[in-house]
Amino acid sequence: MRERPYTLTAELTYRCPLQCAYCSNPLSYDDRPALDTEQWRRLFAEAEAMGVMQVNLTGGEPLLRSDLERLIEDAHHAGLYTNLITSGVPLSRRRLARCRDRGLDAIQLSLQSTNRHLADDIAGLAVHDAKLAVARWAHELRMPLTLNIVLHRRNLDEIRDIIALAEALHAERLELANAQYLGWALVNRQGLLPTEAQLEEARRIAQAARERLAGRMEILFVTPDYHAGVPRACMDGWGRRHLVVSPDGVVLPCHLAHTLPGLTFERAGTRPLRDIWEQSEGFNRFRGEEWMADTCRTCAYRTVDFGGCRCQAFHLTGHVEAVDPVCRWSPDHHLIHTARDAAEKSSGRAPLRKRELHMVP
Amino acid sequence: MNDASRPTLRPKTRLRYDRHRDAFVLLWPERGLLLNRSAGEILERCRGQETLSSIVKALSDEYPQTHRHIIEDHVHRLIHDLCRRGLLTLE
Repeated sequence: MRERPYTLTAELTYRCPLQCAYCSNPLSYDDRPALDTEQWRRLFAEAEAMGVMQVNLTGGEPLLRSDLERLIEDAHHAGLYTNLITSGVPLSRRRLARCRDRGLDAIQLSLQSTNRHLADDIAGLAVHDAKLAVARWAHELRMPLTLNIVLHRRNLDEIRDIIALAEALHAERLELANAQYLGWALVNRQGLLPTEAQLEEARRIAQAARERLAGRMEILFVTPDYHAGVPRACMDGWGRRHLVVSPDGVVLPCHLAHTLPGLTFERAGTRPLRDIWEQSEGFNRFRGEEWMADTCRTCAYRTVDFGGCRCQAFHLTGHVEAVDPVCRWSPDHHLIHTARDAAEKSSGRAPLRKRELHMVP
Repeated sequence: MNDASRPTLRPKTRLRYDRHRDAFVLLWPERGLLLNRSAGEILERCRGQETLSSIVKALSDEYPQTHRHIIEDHVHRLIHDLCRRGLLTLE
Protein backbone atom coordinates (compact mmCIF):
# COMPACT_ATOMS: atom_id res chain seq x y z
CA MET A 1 0.00 0.00 0.00
CA ARG A 2 1.36 3.45 -0.92
CA GLU A 3 0.06 5.37 2.10
CA ARG A 4 -1.82 4.27 5.14
CA PRO A 5 -4.67 6.12 6.80
CA TYR A 6 -4.36 6.78 10.55
CA THR A 7 -7.60 8.63 11.21
CA LEU A 8 -11.18 8.05 10.20
CA THR A 9 -13.56 10.96 10.45
CA ALA A 10 -17.06 9.52 10.60
CA GLU A 11 -19.64 12.18 9.77
CA LEU A 12 -22.65 10.47 11.29
CA THR A 13 -25.21 13.04 10.13
CA TYR A 14 -25.31 16.54 8.65
CA ARG A 15 -28.23 17.43 10.91
CA CYS A 16 -27.48 19.85 13.76
CA PRO A 17 -29.62 21.95 16.09
CA LEU A 18 -27.10 24.80 15.82
CA GLN A 19 -26.76 27.23 12.92
CA CYS A 20 -23.19 28.53 13.28
CA ALA A 21 -22.31 30.97 10.52
CA TYR A 22 -18.87 29.33 10.08
CA CYS A 23 -20.06 25.73 9.88
CA SER A 24 -17.62 23.70 7.79
CA ASN A 25 -20.25 21.34 6.44
CA PRO A 26 -21.05 21.73 2.73
CA LEU A 27 -23.70 24.27 1.72
CA SER A 28 -25.85 21.57 0.12
CA TYR A 29 -25.76 17.86 -0.56
CA ASP A 30 -27.66 15.06 -2.23
CA ASP A 31 -30.62 13.73 -0.33
CA ARG A 32 -29.48 10.15 0.12
CA PRO A 33 -30.09 7.82 3.04
CA ALA A 34 -27.59 7.89 5.90
CA LEU A 35 -25.47 4.82 6.66
CA ASP A 36 -27.08 2.58 9.25
CA THR A 37 -25.52 1.10 12.37
CA GLU A 38 -24.38 -2.08 10.69
CA GLN A 39 -22.76 -0.22 7.78
CA TRP A 40 -20.77 1.95 10.19
CA ARG A 41 -19.75 -1.10 12.22
CA ARG A 42 -18.31 -2.76 9.12
CA LEU A 43 -16.53 0.46 8.17
CA PHE A 44 -14.85 0.73 11.59
CA ALA A 45 -13.56 -2.83 11.32
CA GLU A 46 -12.33 -2.33 7.74
CA ALA A 47 -10.61 0.93 8.63
CA GLU A 48 -8.84 -0.65 11.60
CA ALA A 49 -7.62 -3.50 9.44
CA MET A 50 -6.01 -0.94 7.11
CA GLY A 51 -4.12 0.72 9.98
CA VAL A 52 -6.53 3.40 11.17
CA MET A 53 -5.96 4.07 14.88
CA GLN A 54 -8.43 6.83 15.69
CA VAL A 55 -12.01 7.61 14.84
CA ASN A 56 -13.60 11.03 15.21
CA LEU A 57 -17.35 10.67 15.54
CA THR A 58 -18.68 13.94 14.22
CA GLY A 59 -21.31 15.51 11.99
CA GLY A 60 -23.37 17.72 11.99
CA GLU A 61 -24.28 16.72 15.50
CA PRO A 62 -23.57 13.05 16.26
CA LEU A 63 -25.81 13.13 19.37
CA LEU A 64 -28.81 13.30 17.04
CA ARG A 65 -28.22 9.64 16.17
CA SER A 66 -30.15 7.41 18.50
CA ASP A 67 -27.62 4.61 17.86
CA LEU A 68 -24.61 6.70 18.95
CA GLU A 69 -23.85 4.56 22.02
CA ARG A 70 -23.92 1.47 19.86
CA LEU A 71 -21.55 3.10 17.34
CA ILE A 72 -19.16 4.04 20.14
CA GLU A 73 -19.20 0.46 21.33
CA ASP A 74 -18.55 -0.83 17.81
CA ALA A 75 -15.66 1.59 17.23
CA HIS A 76 -14.15 0.70 20.60
CA HIS A 77 -14.45 -3.02 19.94
CA ALA A 78 -12.79 -2.53 16.57
CA GLY A 79 -9.78 -1.22 18.55
CA LEU A 80 -10.05 2.44 17.59
CA TYR A 81 -9.32 5.40 19.85
CA THR A 82 -12.79 6.92 19.92
CA ASN A 83 -13.29 10.67 20.09
CA LEU A 84 -16.73 12.30 20.12
CA ILE A 85 -16.81 15.73 18.49
CA THR A 86 -19.97 17.44 19.59
CA SER A 87 -21.82 20.64 20.34
CA GLY A 88 -23.06 18.94 23.52
CA VAL A 89 -26.68 19.46 22.50
CA PRO A 90 -28.92 17.61 23.17
CA LEU A 91 -27.30 15.56 25.92
CA SER A 92 -28.09 14.34 29.43
CA ARG A 93 -25.58 13.36 32.11
CA ARG A 94 -26.88 9.80 31.98
CA ARG A 95 -26.32 9.52 28.24
CA LEU A 96 -22.80 10.94 28.56
CA ALA A 97 -22.04 8.32 31.23
CA ARG A 98 -23.39 5.63 28.92
CA CYS A 99 -21.07 6.84 26.13
CA ARG A 100 -18.14 6.57 28.54
CA ASP A 101 -19.17 3.10 29.66
CA ARG A 102 -19.41 1.91 26.04
CA GLY A 103 -15.76 2.84 25.49
CA LEU A 104 -15.59 6.52 24.54
CA ASP A 105 -11.97 7.65 25.02
CA ALA A 106 -12.43 11.43 24.81
CA ILE A 107 -14.96 14.15 24.14
CA GLN A 108 -14.45 17.39 22.23
CA LEU A 109 -17.01 20.03 23.04
CA SER A 110 -17.53 23.20 21.01
CA LEU A 111 -18.10 26.59 22.59
CA GLN A 112 -18.97 29.71 20.65
CA SER A 113 -17.93 32.44 23.07
CA THR A 114 -17.44 33.05 26.81
CA ASN A 115 -20.22 35.59 26.61
CA ARG A 116 -23.60 33.86 26.85
CA HIS A 117 -25.36 36.44 24.72
CA LEU A 118 -22.81 36.29 21.89
CA ALA A 119 -22.48 32.49 22.17
CA ASP A 120 -26.22 31.96 21.77
CA ASP A 121 -26.34 34.50 18.97
CA ILE A 122 -23.61 32.66 17.02
CA ALA A 123 -25.20 29.25 17.65
CA GLY A 124 -28.64 30.56 16.73
CA LEU A 125 -30.04 28.84 19.82
CA ALA A 126 -29.80 29.36 23.59
CA VAL A 127 -27.38 26.51 24.29
CA HIS A 128 -24.42 28.11 26.09
CA ASP A 129 -25.51 27.07 29.60
CA ALA A 130 -26.28 23.55 28.43
CA LYS A 131 -22.75 23.30 27.00
CA LEU A 132 -21.17 24.43 30.26
CA ALA A 133 -23.16 21.75 32.04
CA VAL A 134 -21.78 19.11 29.65
CA ALA A 135 -18.22 20.27 30.38
CA ARG A 136 -18.86 19.92 34.13
CA TRP A 137 -20.37 16.44 33.71
CA ALA A 138 -17.34 15.37 31.68
CA HIS A 139 -15.10 16.37 34.59
CA GLU A 140 -17.33 14.66 37.16
CA LEU A 141 -17.36 11.50 35.03
CA ARG A 142 -13.56 11.71 34.64
CA MET A 143 -13.77 11.94 30.87
CA PRO A 144 -10.90 13.67 29.05
CA LEU A 145 -12.27 16.95 27.70
CA THR A 146 -11.13 19.04 24.76
CA LEU A 147 -12.75 22.43 24.32
CA ASN A 148 -12.86 23.75 20.79
CA ILE A 149 -13.69 27.30 19.97
CA VAL A 150 -13.78 28.63 16.43
CA LEU A 151 -12.18 32.07 16.49
CA HIS A 152 -13.17 35.00 14.32
CA ARG A 153 -13.65 38.75 14.32
CA ARG A 154 -16.32 38.75 17.01
CA ASN A 155 -14.74 36.54 19.66
CA LEU A 156 -10.99 36.76 19.08
CA ASP A 157 -10.63 39.51 21.67
CA GLU A 158 -11.98 37.15 24.35
CA ILE A 159 -8.96 34.92 24.23
CA ARG A 160 -7.90 35.50 27.87
CA ASP A 161 -11.42 34.70 29.08
CA ILE A 162 -11.55 31.62 26.87
CA ILE A 163 -8.34 30.26 28.37
CA ALA A 164 -9.54 31.04 31.90
CA LEU A 165 -12.84 29.27 31.22
CA ALA A 166 -11.03 26.21 29.85
CA GLU A 167 -8.94 26.09 33.03
CA ALA A 168 -12.00 26.45 35.24
CA LEU A 169 -13.72 23.62 33.35
CA HIS A 170 -10.64 21.37 33.74
CA ALA A 171 -10.18 20.91 30.00
CA GLU A 172 -7.19 18.74 29.09
CA ARG A 173 -6.93 20.37 25.69
CA LEU A 174 -8.00 23.67 24.23
CA GLU A 175 -8.24 24.10 20.49
CA LEU A 176 -8.20 27.75 19.53
CA ALA A 177 -9.22 27.15 15.95
CA ASN A 178 -9.32 30.21 13.76
CA ALA A 179 -12.05 29.83 11.18
CA GLN A 180 -10.93 28.45 7.85
CA TYR A 181 -12.81 30.17 5.07
CA LEU A 182 -14.63 27.33 3.37
CA GLY A 183 -18.26 26.23 3.54
CA TRP A 184 -20.43 28.66 5.48
CA ALA A 185 -17.39 30.59 6.73
CA LEU A 186 -16.63 31.60 3.12
CA VAL A 187 -20.22 32.82 2.70
CA ASN A 188 -19.74 34.91 5.86
CA ARG A 189 -16.09 35.84 5.38
CA GLN A 190 -16.70 39.57 5.48
CA GLY A 191 -18.21 39.38 8.94
CA LEU A 192 -15.78 36.79 10.31
CA LEU A 193 -12.28 37.61 9.04
CA PRO A 194 -10.26 39.19 11.89
CA THR A 195 -7.82 42.06 11.71
CA GLU A 196 -4.08 41.47 11.79
CA ALA A 197 -3.81 43.25 15.16
CA GLN A 198 -6.50 41.03 16.72
CA LEU A 199 -4.76 37.93 15.52
CA GLU A 200 -1.29 38.99 16.66
CA GLU A 201 -2.53 39.79 20.16
CA ALA A 202 -4.42 36.51 20.40
CA ARG A 203 -1.39 34.53 19.23
CA ARG A 204 0.80 36.23 21.85
CA ILE A 205 -1.65 35.49 24.67
CA ALA A 206 -2.10 31.88 23.55
CA GLN A 207 1.68 31.36 23.41
CA ALA A 208 2.16 32.72 26.94
CA ALA A 209 -0.66 30.52 28.24
CA ARG A 210 0.81 27.47 26.50
CA GLU A 211 4.06 27.94 28.42
CA ARG A 212 2.33 28.67 31.71
CA LEU A 213 0.06 25.62 31.43
CA ALA A 214 2.58 23.18 29.93
CA GLY A 215 1.93 19.70 31.29
CA ARG A 216 -1.57 20.62 32.51
CA MET A 217 -3.47 21.82 29.47
CA GLU A 218 -2.48 21.41 25.85
CA ILE A 219 -3.24 24.58 23.89
CA LEU A 220 -3.43 24.53 20.12
CA PHE A 221 -3.61 27.79 18.22
CA VAL A 222 -4.48 27.25 14.59
CA THR A 223 -3.38 30.22 12.48
CA PRO A 224 -5.88 31.07 9.75
CA ASP A 225 -4.56 30.39 6.26
CA TYR A 226 -5.32 33.93 5.20
CA HIS A 227 -2.68 35.33 7.55
CA ALA A 228 -0.06 32.59 7.28
CA GLY A 229 1.42 33.46 3.87
CA VAL A 230 1.97 29.78 3.16
CA PRO A 231 -0.62 27.06 2.69
CA ARG A 232 -1.29 24.58 5.42
CA ALA A 233 -0.73 20.89 4.77
CA CYS A 234 -4.45 20.35 4.41
CA MET A 235 -5.39 16.92 5.85
CA ASP A 236 -1.61 16.21 6.03
CA GLY A 237 -1.80 15.88 2.26
CA TRP A 238 -4.50 14.51 -0.02
CA GLY A 239 -5.10 10.81 0.58
CA ARG A 240 -2.06 10.40 2.84
CA ARG A 241 -3.32 10.05 6.44
CA HIS A 242 -7.05 10.73 6.62
CA LEU A 243 -10.24 9.04 5.59
CA VAL A 244 -13.53 10.91 5.83
CA VAL A 245 -16.87 9.22 5.35
CA SER A 246 -19.89 11.47 4.76
CA PRO A 247 -23.28 10.68 6.34
CA ASP A 248 -24.45 8.96 3.15
CA GLY A 249 -21.31 6.83 2.97
CA VAL A 250 -19.11 8.60 0.41
CA VAL A 251 -15.45 7.89 1.17
CA LEU A 252 -13.43 11.10 0.90
CA PRO A 253 -9.90 12.45 1.47
CA CYS A 254 -11.39 15.54 3.16
CA HIS A 255 -14.83 16.57 4.31
CA LEU A 256 -15.39 18.97 1.41
CA ALA A 257 -13.73 16.97 -1.39
CA HIS A 258 -17.12 16.15 -2.92
CA THR A 259 -17.70 19.87 -3.52
CA LEU A 260 -14.93 19.78 -6.17
CA PRO A 261 -16.20 19.33 -9.74
CA GLY A 262 -15.00 16.52 -11.98
CA LEU A 263 -13.87 14.16 -9.23
CA THR A 264 -15.39 10.74 -8.66
CA PHE A 265 -15.74 9.33 -5.17
CA GLU A 266 -17.12 5.97 -4.19
CA ARG A 267 -19.56 4.84 -1.54
CA ALA A 268 -18.56 2.60 1.33
CA GLY A 269 -19.79 -0.96 0.94
CA THR A 270 -19.61 -1.02 -2.86
CA ARG A 271 -16.13 -2.54 -2.69
CA PRO A 272 -13.50 -3.03 0.02
CA LEU A 273 -12.47 0.19 1.78
CA ARG A 274 -8.82 -0.61 1.08
CA ASP A 275 -9.52 -0.69 -2.68
CA ILE A 276 -11.36 2.62 -2.51
CA TRP A 277 -8.43 4.17 -0.61
CA GLU A 278 -5.82 2.78 -2.99
CA GLN A 279 -7.55 2.83 -6.35
CA SER A 280 -10.43 5.28 -6.52
CA GLU A 281 -10.06 8.08 -9.03
CA GLY A 282 -10.91 10.75 -6.47
CA PHE A 283 -8.24 9.63 -3.96
CA ASN A 284 -5.53 9.44 -6.62
CA ARG A 285 -6.41 12.75 -8.24
CA PHE A 286 -4.12 14.88 -6.04
CA ARG A 287 -1.66 12.35 -4.70
CA GLY A 288 1.97 12.88 -5.61
CA GLU A 289 3.18 15.92 -7.53
CA GLU A 290 2.20 15.39 -11.16
CA TRP A 291 -1.04 17.32 -10.88
CA MET A 292 0.68 20.40 -9.44
CA ALA A 293 1.09 23.73 -11.19
CA ASP A 294 4.74 24.57 -11.97
CA THR A 295 4.79 27.03 -9.08
CA CYS A 296 4.26 24.13 -6.69
CA ARG A 297 6.10 21.38 -8.53
CA THR A 298 9.33 23.38 -8.46
CA CYS A 299 8.85 24.66 -4.90
CA ALA A 300 10.93 23.37 -1.99
CA TYR A 301 7.84 23.43 0.25
CA ARG A 302 5.85 20.95 -1.85
CA THR A 303 6.84 18.15 0.53
CA VAL A 304 5.73 20.27 3.49
CA ASP A 305 2.34 21.58 2.37
CA PHE A 306 1.59 18.99 -0.37
CA GLY A 307 0.19 21.77 -2.55
CA GLY A 308 -2.16 23.24 0.08
CA CYS A 309 -5.92 22.98 0.14
CA ARG A 310 -7.68 21.92 -3.08
CA CYS A 311 -11.07 23.05 -1.83
CA GLN A 312 -9.72 26.52 -1.06
CA ALA A 313 -8.05 26.71 -4.47
CA PHE A 314 -11.28 25.77 -6.23
CA HIS A 315 -13.68 27.85 -4.17
CA LEU A 316 -11.56 30.99 -4.61
CA THR A 317 -10.33 30.62 -8.20
CA GLY A 318 -12.76 28.20 -9.86
CA HIS A 319 -9.91 25.84 -10.76
CA VAL A 320 -9.21 22.64 -8.83
CA GLU A 321 -5.54 22.55 -9.82
CA ALA A 322 -4.75 26.20 -9.06
CA VAL A 323 -2.04 27.11 -6.57
CA ASP A 324 -3.71 27.60 -3.19
CA PRO A 325 -4.28 31.40 -3.20
CA VAL A 326 -3.15 31.76 0.42
CA CYS A 327 0.38 31.05 -0.82
CA ARG A 328 2.37 34.25 -1.34
CA TRP A 329 3.65 32.82 -4.65
CA SER A 330 0.16 32.14 -6.01
CA PRO A 331 -0.83 34.29 -9.02
CA ASP A 332 -4.20 34.69 -7.24
CA HIS A 333 -2.74 35.82 -3.92
CA HIS A 334 -4.29 39.29 -4.42
CA LEU A 335 -7.66 37.66 -3.59
CA ILE A 336 -6.40 37.11 -0.05
CA HIS A 337 -4.99 40.63 0.25
CA THR A 338 -8.27 42.12 -0.93
CA ALA A 339 -10.19 40.14 1.72
CA ARG A 340 -7.70 41.09 4.44
CA ASP A 341 -7.75 44.77 3.46
CA ALA A 342 -11.55 44.72 3.60
CA ALA A 343 -11.36 43.22 7.10
CA GLU A 344 -8.95 45.95 8.26
CA LYS A 345 -11.36 48.66 7.03
CA SER A 346 -14.57 47.00 8.19
CA SER A 347 -16.42 47.83 11.39
CA GLY A 348 -16.69 44.11 12.14
CA ARG A 349 -20.45 44.36 12.24
CA ALA A 350 -21.27 42.85 8.84
CA PRO A 351 -24.38 40.67 9.24
CA LEU A 352 -23.84 36.91 9.38
CA ARG A 353 -25.99 34.49 7.45
CA LYS A 354 -26.82 31.53 9.64
CA ARG A 355 -26.33 28.00 8.43
CA GLU A 356 -29.46 26.58 6.83
CA LEU A 357 -30.12 22.93 6.27
CA HIS A 358 -31.26 21.79 2.85
CA MET A 359 -31.86 18.21 1.80
CA VAL A 360 -30.40 16.59 4.83
CA PRO A 361 -29.58 12.92 4.80
CA MET B 1 10.75 13.59 40.08
CA ASN B 2 12.26 11.19 42.62
CA ASP B 3 12.82 7.44 42.84
CA ALA B 4 9.54 6.86 44.67
CA SER B 5 7.40 8.71 42.07
CA ARG B 6 4.94 6.56 40.18
CA PRO B 7 4.73 7.71 36.55
CA THR B 8 1.18 7.31 35.27
CA LEU B 9 -0.13 7.80 31.76
CA ARG B 10 -2.90 10.40 31.69
CA PRO B 11 -6.47 9.13 31.18
CA LYS B 12 -6.72 10.72 27.71
CA THR B 13 -3.90 8.51 26.43
CA ARG B 14 -4.04 4.97 25.16
CA LEU B 15 -0.98 2.84 24.60
CA ARG B 16 -1.49 0.23 21.92
CA TYR B 17 0.45 -2.04 19.63
CA ASP B 18 0.51 -1.20 15.92
CA ARG B 19 0.83 -4.50 14.07
CA HIS B 20 1.49 -2.69 10.77
CA ARG B 21 4.64 -1.05 12.14
CA ASP B 22 5.49 -3.68 14.77
CA ALA B 23 5.73 -0.93 17.38
CA PHE B 24 3.82 0.67 20.21
CA VAL B 25 1.96 3.93 19.66
CA LEU B 26 0.68 6.36 22.24
CA LEU B 27 -2.65 7.86 21.21
CA TRP B 28 -4.51 10.90 22.51
CA PRO B 29 -7.19 13.03 20.85
CA GLU B 30 -6.28 13.61 17.21
CA ARG B 31 -2.63 12.87 17.93
CA GLY B 32 -0.30 9.92 18.11
CA LEU B 33 3.32 9.15 18.87
CA LEU B 34 5.10 6.22 17.28
CA LEU B 35 7.35 4.79 19.97
CA ASN B 36 10.66 3.05 19.56
CA ARG B 37 11.07 -0.23 21.36
CA SER B 38 12.59 1.08 24.56
CA ALA B 39 10.06 3.91 24.91
CA GLY B 40 7.26 1.37 24.45
CA GLU B 41 8.74 -0.87 27.13
CA ILE B 42 9.06 2.03 29.56
CA LEU B 43 5.52 3.30 28.99
CA GLU B 44 4.04 -0.17 29.46
CA ARG B 45 5.27 0.18 33.05
CA CYS B 46 3.78 3.66 33.56
CA ARG B 47 0.40 2.51 34.86
CA GLY B 48 0.71 3.99 38.34
CA GLN B 49 1.79 0.70 39.94
CA GLU B 50 5.56 0.87 39.59
CA THR B 51 7.92 3.50 40.98
CA LEU B 52 10.61 5.16 38.93
CA SER B 53 13.32 3.11 40.63
CA SER B 54 11.47 -0.17 40.12
CA ILE B 55 11.06 0.63 36.41
CA VAL B 56 14.80 1.26 36.06
CA LYS B 57 15.58 -1.92 37.99
CA ALA B 58 13.24 -4.04 35.88
CA LEU B 59 14.77 -2.75 32.64
CA SER B 60 18.33 -3.18 33.97
CA ASP B 61 17.51 -6.80 34.83
CA GLU B 62 16.12 -7.31 31.36
CA TYR B 63 19.10 -5.70 29.59
CA PRO B 64 22.11 -6.63 31.76
CA GLN B 65 24.59 -5.67 29.05
CA THR B 66 23.40 -2.02 29.10
CA HIS B 67 24.86 0.18 31.79
CA ARG B 68 22.31 1.03 34.48
CA HIS B 69 22.96 4.78 34.33
CA ILE B 70 22.24 4.79 30.59
CA ILE B 71 18.87 3.15 31.20
CA GLU B 72 18.21 5.51 34.08
CA ASP B 73 19.02 8.54 31.94
CA HIS B 74 16.77 7.29 29.15
CA VAL B 75 13.83 6.65 31.48
CA HIS B 76 14.17 10.03 33.18
CA ARG B 77 14.35 11.94 29.92
CA LEU B 78 11.34 10.20 28.41
CA ILE B 79 9.25 10.73 31.52
CA HIS B 80 10.28 14.36 31.82
CA ASP B 81 9.40 14.99 28.17
CA LEU B 82 5.99 13.30 28.36
CA CYS B 83 5.11 15.08 31.63
CA ARG B 84 5.85 18.38 29.94
CA ARG B 85 3.58 17.40 27.09
CA GLY B 86 0.78 16.55 29.48
CA LEU B 87 0.75 12.86 28.61
CA LEU B 88 2.10 11.55 31.90
CA THR B 89 1.84 12.52 35.57
CA LEU B 90 3.94 11.59 38.58
CA GLU B 91 1.80 10.26 41.40
